[in-house]
Amino acid sequence: MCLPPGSSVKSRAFTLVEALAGTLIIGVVMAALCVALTIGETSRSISTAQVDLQANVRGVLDIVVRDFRQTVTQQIVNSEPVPSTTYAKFRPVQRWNITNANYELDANFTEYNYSAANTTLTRNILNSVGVVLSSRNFYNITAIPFYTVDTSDESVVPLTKDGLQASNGRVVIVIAGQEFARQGRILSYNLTEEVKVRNE
Amino acid sequence: MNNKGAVLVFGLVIILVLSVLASSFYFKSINENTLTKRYVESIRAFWLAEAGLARAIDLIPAFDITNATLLDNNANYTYSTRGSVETINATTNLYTINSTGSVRMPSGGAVTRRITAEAVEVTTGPDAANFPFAIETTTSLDIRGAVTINPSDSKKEHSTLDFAALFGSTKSDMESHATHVYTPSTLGAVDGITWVNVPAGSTLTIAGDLAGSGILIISGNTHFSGTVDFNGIIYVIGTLTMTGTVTTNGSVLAESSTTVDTTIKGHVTLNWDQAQINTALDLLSSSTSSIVSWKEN
Repeated sequence: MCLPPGSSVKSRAFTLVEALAGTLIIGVVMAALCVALTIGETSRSISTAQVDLQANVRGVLDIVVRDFRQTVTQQIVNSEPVPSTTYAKFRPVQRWNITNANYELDANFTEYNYSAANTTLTRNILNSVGVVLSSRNFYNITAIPFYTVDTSDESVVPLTKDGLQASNGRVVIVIAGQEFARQGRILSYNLTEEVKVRNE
Repeated sequence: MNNKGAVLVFGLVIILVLSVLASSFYFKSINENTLTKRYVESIRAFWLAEAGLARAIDLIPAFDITNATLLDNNANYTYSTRGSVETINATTNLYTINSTGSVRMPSGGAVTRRITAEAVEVTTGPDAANFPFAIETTTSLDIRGAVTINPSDSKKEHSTLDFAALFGSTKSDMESHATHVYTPSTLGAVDGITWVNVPAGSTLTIAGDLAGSGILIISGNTHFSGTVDFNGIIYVIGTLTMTGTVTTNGSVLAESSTTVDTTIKGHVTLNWDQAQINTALDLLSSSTSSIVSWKEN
């Protein structure tokens, strides 16, 4: 700044009021920023949890559908224990035996068992005498997964031995997943797919 | 003291924090988008594999399953089939078909699903054993003169001829599926399955030359007075009279009396020919293919 000759400027500090006002403004701005960032982070976290949940549900459904599709309807129908909304057991098909005109099946069983108490769907591979060879748990599954179709009115009904037989191998699989997000939020997502067991 | 620089530093810190958050969310979204696309393309690849399988089954037996690759018309979405065929018996083949559906991703690479199915092809048709004679009639067989029947005992009269049992289809079905349907006035080429309707009270008289093959069915009275040379099966629903120069290789049947008279004119030779009967019956055979086992690899 250019001052006229003979003039002078007296330098002074902020007054208390000016300092308080400045501090208040900065505080308000910081608080607003924190709130905005928190909301953004919460939103991001929930979105991430949501897409994770969707991906997980799709993955589980894909595995279950593949297993059911390549077995034999009678394998499920005649399994022991009998099929239900929470249980199914069957053996995958290996090939067709042209001599005996029947299926050659895998030696091991695939077993699905749903626990509502634990919200867990378990996929076991059992050998011929029922020993578990491998096991995989799908957690946070919140609804019973197995249904079939009543062909009289095409309605979805709980899976039973007779119902599956009557529907000629139509299984409706429901995977309802749940995930816990921030601030106690519970996210849920479910997918349903009807599978026609390909070997009758 | 000059505090103006603090605003710049403060602003940069805020921008940095926001940028980190935004980029994190962006990459998460991109990753999820990729996963979702992959899932969708996986389903698409599965149904492409099913389409390849369905097409291969549909083309059996014309489709050379061991050598062909089937592609649809979009280079990004393809299916290919490979397989082998095993002959089980004279009427049954077992096809093993591997069908792979593939989707090319824009980012490179491909999503593929592969299924393996077995299909049984069963060929059905009339039995050649239904035609064991060179000539067979439901009433009397009147042979006059020197008629050559080969083998000499290959003739039968007073038979019970059941058209549907012999050919595996009714008369009306046979007529509706005939290669040619004629009346005496429109008689033309005789090959494949030829059906001739002769008006009631009339007689189809072949006074000229007739050369043909396959299955010839004449619904009405018939008189071969000319030169007839036929390979296959002749079935007459009415009386049959042969006085011309007639040579048949296969089998001749008549749902009525048959008169073979070489004393009037001509020369009649009736050869029972298994090969010609088989060739004729091939016209009525059909094959059906059905999937007997299915699995995803």
